Amino acid sequence: MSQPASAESLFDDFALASERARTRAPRQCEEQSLGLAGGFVRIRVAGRQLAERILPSYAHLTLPRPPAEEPDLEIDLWDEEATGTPCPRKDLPDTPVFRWPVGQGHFMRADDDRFVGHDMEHSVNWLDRKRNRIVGWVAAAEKLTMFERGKPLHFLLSIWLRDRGVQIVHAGLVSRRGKGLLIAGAGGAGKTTTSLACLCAGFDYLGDDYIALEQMNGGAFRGHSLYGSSWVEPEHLKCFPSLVPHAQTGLPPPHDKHLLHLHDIYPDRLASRADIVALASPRRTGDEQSAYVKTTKGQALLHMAPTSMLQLFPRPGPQGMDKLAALVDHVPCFELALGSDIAGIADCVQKLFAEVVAG
Amino acid sequence: MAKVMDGEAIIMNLTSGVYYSSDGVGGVIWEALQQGVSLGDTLTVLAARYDVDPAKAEADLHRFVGELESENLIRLDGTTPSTSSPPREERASKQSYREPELHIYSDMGDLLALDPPAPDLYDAS
Repeated sequence: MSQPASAESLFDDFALASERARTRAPRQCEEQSLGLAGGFVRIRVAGRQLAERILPSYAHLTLPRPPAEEPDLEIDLWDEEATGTPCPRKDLPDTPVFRWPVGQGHFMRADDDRFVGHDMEHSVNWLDRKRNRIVGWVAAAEKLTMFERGKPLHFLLSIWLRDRGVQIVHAGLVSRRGKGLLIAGAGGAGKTTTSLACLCAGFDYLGDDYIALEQMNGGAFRGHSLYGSSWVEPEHLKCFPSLVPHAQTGLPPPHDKHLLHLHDIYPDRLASRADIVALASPRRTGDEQSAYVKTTKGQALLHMAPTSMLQLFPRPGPQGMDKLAALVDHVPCFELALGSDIAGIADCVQKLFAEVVAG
Repeated sequence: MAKVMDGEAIIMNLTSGVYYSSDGVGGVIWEALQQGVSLGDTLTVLAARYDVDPAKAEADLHRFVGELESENLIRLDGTTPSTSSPPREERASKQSYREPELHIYSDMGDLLALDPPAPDLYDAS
């Protein structure tokens, strides 16, 4: 097979292959309509085991029925082993392609960045930013990494969201009656601990490491859930006994965390969006009890900005910093001193909420 | 890239991943410099706002600016006049003075050194 002349023809080859896969193995196909950060996403997966590994992370975003309008984003994925449809080509088009190692694979961009992709040894996914479509091949569902299972298509979705003016932040988000507390901080600060403690105590959960941030008219901010999954170290998971039986273990090294699909455990507690009414910066302490205290806007930005600006892909750039500063400026900010008593963390967050709502 | 929030400067070097903060007197100095106020006029602001010996304020200002320059956060020509006027300070009483400090955080810088990010889609080419 000759090398494609353009990235567009390569993309079209993938699209045709995904269609061929669906035609060859119709009983292996699953289709869902998702409400993702205010957009309608249609996802079709050819390969039952692939669907079982990918779709649970989006289960909480499933729409009760497909909307009448065209999707804002179409995603078509197929499993070669399940459908007998091979990857059409793994070579790159002869138009200039930029390739850079990102997340156990490579990020690719071609045709003035109209086409962006991410490839690993066992998977290749491409996003056409003009047509708002993702196509992707997987050699076999069992080869998916924990990252691909927990945060499917993360890099390409991040770009699509960014194109729509929605910024990904490194934060957790929990809510009560549609009002959300954004929990921001570096890795290890306690975002997952706080988010899961609140989930187990009855809060609505929208995420513990990536949240899509949208600035609304009037300056308020809305947080959108992306994934209903969490990664937790085995020792940390012991703090949440209700979650332990649901942990997916036995993933190949170097994964040292367990994967949780939280919609399987608390289907009524996973929310898709919340209006952000406060920001908390968690900090672990050696105490048993948790406490919160108002913090300065500068300190709140100091805790939130570094990982959200430097560690995420794609990086938000100066506009992203403006947005984070606007968020910090708009809502009350707190430091959350986390104690070892997990239930106490949720109690503390509840008191924080009560203060914010009363104020 | 920097923001000043309630007088605290939060500064990020997107290339190295090192980030900084400075509040109080440091925040005032940073904000003045970003607004194009000269060192001389910045010193005037400090002397008007804070209960501080002018010589000490001047020494601290030059030390602090030296730190900013050594971290490549600013580049100053000492002879450059102000491009904007410092705010007129009319205070009944002066604030207590605390030496400006530049807090430096290199945890992200270490991470980026191990795993440099791809040039961003949205960076200017």
